[in-house]
Amino acid sequence: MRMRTLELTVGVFILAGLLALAVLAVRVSGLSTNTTGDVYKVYAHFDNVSGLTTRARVTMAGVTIGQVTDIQFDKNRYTGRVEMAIFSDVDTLPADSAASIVTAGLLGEKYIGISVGGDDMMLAEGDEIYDTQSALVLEELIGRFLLNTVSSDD
Amino acid sequence: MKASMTDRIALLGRSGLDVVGTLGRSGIFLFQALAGRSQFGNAFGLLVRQLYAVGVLSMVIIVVSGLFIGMVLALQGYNILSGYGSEQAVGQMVALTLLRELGPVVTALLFAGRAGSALTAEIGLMKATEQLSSLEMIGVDPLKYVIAPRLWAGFISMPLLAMIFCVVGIWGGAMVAVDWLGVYSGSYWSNMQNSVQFGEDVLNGLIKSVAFAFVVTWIAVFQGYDCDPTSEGISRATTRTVVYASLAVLSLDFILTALMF
Amino acid sequence: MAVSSDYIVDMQKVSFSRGERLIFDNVDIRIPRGKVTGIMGPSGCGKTTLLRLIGAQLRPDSGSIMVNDQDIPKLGRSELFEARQQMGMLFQSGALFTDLSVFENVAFSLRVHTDLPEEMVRDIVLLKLQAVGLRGAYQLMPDELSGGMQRRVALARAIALDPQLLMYDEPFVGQDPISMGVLVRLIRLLNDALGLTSIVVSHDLAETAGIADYLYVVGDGMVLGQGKPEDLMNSDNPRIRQFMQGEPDGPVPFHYPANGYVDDLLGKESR
Repeated sequence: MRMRTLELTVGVFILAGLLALAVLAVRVSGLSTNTTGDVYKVYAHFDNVSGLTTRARVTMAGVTIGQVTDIQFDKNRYTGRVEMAIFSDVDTLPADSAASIVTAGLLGEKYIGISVGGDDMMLAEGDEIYDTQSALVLEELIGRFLLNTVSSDD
Repeated sequence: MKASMTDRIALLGRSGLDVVGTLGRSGIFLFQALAGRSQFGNAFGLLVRQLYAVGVLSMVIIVVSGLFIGMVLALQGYNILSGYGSEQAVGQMVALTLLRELGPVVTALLFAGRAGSALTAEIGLMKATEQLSSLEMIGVDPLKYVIAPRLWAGFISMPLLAMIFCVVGIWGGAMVAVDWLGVYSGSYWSNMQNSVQFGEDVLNGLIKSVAFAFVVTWIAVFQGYDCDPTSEGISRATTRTVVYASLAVLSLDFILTALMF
Repeated sequence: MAVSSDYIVDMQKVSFSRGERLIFDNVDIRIPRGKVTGIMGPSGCGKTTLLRLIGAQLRPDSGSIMVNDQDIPKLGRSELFEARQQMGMLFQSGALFTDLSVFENVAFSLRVHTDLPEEMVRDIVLLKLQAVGLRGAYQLMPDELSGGMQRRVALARAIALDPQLLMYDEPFVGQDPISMGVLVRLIRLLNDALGLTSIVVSHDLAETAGIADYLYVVGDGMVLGQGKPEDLMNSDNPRIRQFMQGEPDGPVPFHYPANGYVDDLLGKESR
């Protein structure tokens, strides 16, 4: 009888440990988002993808609707080619929707925000988003700002 | 006085030989304990008993420490990060710190203090009261009957404890950051999920804690088995367990971190 | 085979040293089968070491130790554990497993070495406990027993597998007269009833001489004398006489080796 309670508590202990691992996998590292649920792939070319990483969020109206699954350099177009996986139940994205790389906060992570277009055609597996806006590079921004001040002085 | 120089060199040599001898004995000890199959029908029962003593009984200290360390991390992180206006990154900071470093390391240190010292004292006492010799005379190998289940229990328990520690810590961090300091819960978790990689962070932390489990349990059990069978010897061995295990964990942590990240 | 079959243990030219200290120097000891043999000597002369040599918990530097015609120090690890099933050892402290009940302690070797059904294990355990008079205590834990009772339980455990050779390490130390009497009677009784061979290592003169059929007196790494107890009592050898009669001073000096007494008092450094 005593042995049985012993076995029981040990069983609970091991279960708790494994459960903790599962929590770390799903809730903390967000492993689930790319394994659960059906997705469809959409592509977009950006002139500059600096700061964007795979597994970054793809959002619309602030809600996550997918994630970045791959980033490669397109050597023909000299642009960054981003592959996104959009949840299948979000199947009403107009084909002329725009994708932009935005930053959460000043130093926060980069993610892709999609704004709705007006086309009747919807994006489907393998389609490309043509209307893109690149990542904001702080140095460029500052450089442009300084240039403008100088030229307006003239 | 004349011979003091040669005496010192001889002393150095003798302690060097001692160290090498101890290392050799502990290696043989480990091999003999783990090699081959257990000859007992109730090997599972023995393991369960030790899992209880080593793992379940360490739960309280692990959970409480994890909770407080997670809460402190969130508090400190918030204070620093809010200076840059990026307090939503506090979740990411808490999670990465816990998974990569504090989870495995602090668990190993606490484990050495709680379970390691208990293992050393218990085995030392069994040696002092001739229970180990008694087993030998009954025809039972104490390495297989006493040592092996304790080693396995340590190897299994510590990674589990480390995972529990991390989860409790992250949860404690969320409690402080979200519920108390008012970080938006969505950004606490999504920031964390975006930056924490399962393979890079969670698995590497797990590998670390497996390595620590191996080292700490080995040291604890060997110190008990190798101690002087007197009350003084046992108390010295217990102290040695905690000191050696802690030093081993911290230095091993540096090496593993350098290799992994 | 025929030569040594009268002797269950046959140690020849055994030397053993611990560190720098020589504990046994070319010792020959033979233990006759079916008898109670006492091994006596002053404290610290290596009597317990002798038992550990026979049980192969220690290995001699040289010499052979035959137990049942097997050279014990030369056996491999698994053969050794096999051979030890023929031996029972009663340790000074009893050495009961503190996390097991009295019943489980006695049943331990049965469970490890045999596949007997639970009913039979129970019968055997109760039988052995009955033999030492503690059948009523089978549910207790070792720390609920007195020292004397612990030793009796340990004795029951040692005879659980019906060994041929039973070794007692200082069985009389720290016992009150009653439990001492019980133990003395038990050793003799078990030896005769179960057809065992017993080796009793002790420095308690009266008790050991009282039950032993044959005595060895060891000291200074040698066998000082051997024979029947009454022969040894009347031995001419001054060392044996001193031990058997319990004289404080003699060949074994009362004083630890020291510098001259007067020199010491006068503070002369004689090095």
